[in-house]
Amino acid sequence: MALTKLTPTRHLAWQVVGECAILLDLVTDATIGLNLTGTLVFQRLLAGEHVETLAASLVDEFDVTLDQALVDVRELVASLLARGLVEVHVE
Amino acid sequence: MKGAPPQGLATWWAEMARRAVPVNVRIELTSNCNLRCGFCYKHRSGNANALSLSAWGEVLGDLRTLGALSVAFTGGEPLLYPQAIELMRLARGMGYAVHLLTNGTLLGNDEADDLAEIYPASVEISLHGASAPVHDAATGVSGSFDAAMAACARLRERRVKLVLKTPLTLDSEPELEAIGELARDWGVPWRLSSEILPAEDGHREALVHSASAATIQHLAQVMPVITAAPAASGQACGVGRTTVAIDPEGNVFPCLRWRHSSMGNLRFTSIAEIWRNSALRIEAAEAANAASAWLAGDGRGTPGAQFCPALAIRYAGSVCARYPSFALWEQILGEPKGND
Repeated sequence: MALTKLTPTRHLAWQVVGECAILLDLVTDATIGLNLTGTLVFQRLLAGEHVETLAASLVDEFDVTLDQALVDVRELVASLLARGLVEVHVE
Repeated sequence: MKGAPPQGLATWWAEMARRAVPVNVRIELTSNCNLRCGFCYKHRSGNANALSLSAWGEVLGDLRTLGALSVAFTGGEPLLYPQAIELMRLARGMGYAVHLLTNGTLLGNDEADDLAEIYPASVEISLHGASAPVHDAATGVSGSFDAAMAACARLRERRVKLVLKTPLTLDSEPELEAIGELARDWGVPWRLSSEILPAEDGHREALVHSASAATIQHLAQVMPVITAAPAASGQACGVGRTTVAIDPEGNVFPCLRWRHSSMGNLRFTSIAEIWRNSALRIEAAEAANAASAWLAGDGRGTPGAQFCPALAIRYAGSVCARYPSFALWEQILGEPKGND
């Protein structure tokens, strides 16, 4: 199975403090605030965790199915990709 | 999966202020400058003990851990610091939104190429006129206008986010509207600052360059862009809570204007220790809180007129008092609503 990793592009500035992540789109000056779960997912994706592995670990940490976790993680990834804030690497 | 709802920048900023997180970092890379602006407040110290690239890298890393999001490199002229570009690249690699405040005269093709790659949140170039005679008279250096304009062109060609900045001075008065038109033609933001400060060594000669009240009043009427936006957090400012300023030799201050004494020096103490333990930081934060409460009380303050606690202390002896330039802005933007 192909595994997907994310890296930030030069258009993204960000910070995570506690459970609060803020993302700055340096092209449009738009800001994206992430909720607690989004912050956790974002941090782990930036740390190099694969999308699929991360989704599987969320099943244990939250009350969700693997399918739902994959949907949620991919939704966040798709949103960041659409804004050009991250690049995807398939391994 | 459940969690707190997504939030915007203003909410996040307010939360950072509540937690006292140094989100906003200002670094003076050097106090030296290649221009000779008569209104400049900087004291040129020579920077014999300027921090090295590796020392700045460590500081930026520590500040990131504390929660910093944005770093502005200023001076003096920051591009006189030999590794300014490398430092900006390093900061971007850490995830910072990077800002550069420069006079543009040292920004050649190589620097512009580097900046295009680094992708700063903004490069702010100071323009003191829309023509060489006016700009060069203000900077005291012939050719500085052409160099600044060339830098603007290089950045625009490379789609680097350019911001024009003009201190409101007697020198720039004759061409303020022309500079505004330039910014509009280029489609770039234009920031005006009305505060001419006494020099850091106490000399007050710079104040004779302050723009006239009549000119500021006129500009406010013809150029809505001149009015400043209220602080996002609804506070006087982020001093002591979300901002930190560092001079070329590692002295740490609550902000660039609040520098009657230092919170500590990075050669001897880590930024984390300084930030957490400084009584001066707490004093500044409390002053800003008091100023915010004072502004809110009895409807004092006028939307759009930004209040600086450091200037209130310097000019009026208290954070809960009007100082001349704030009073001027109140006058321009609306009648004062309360008594001191």
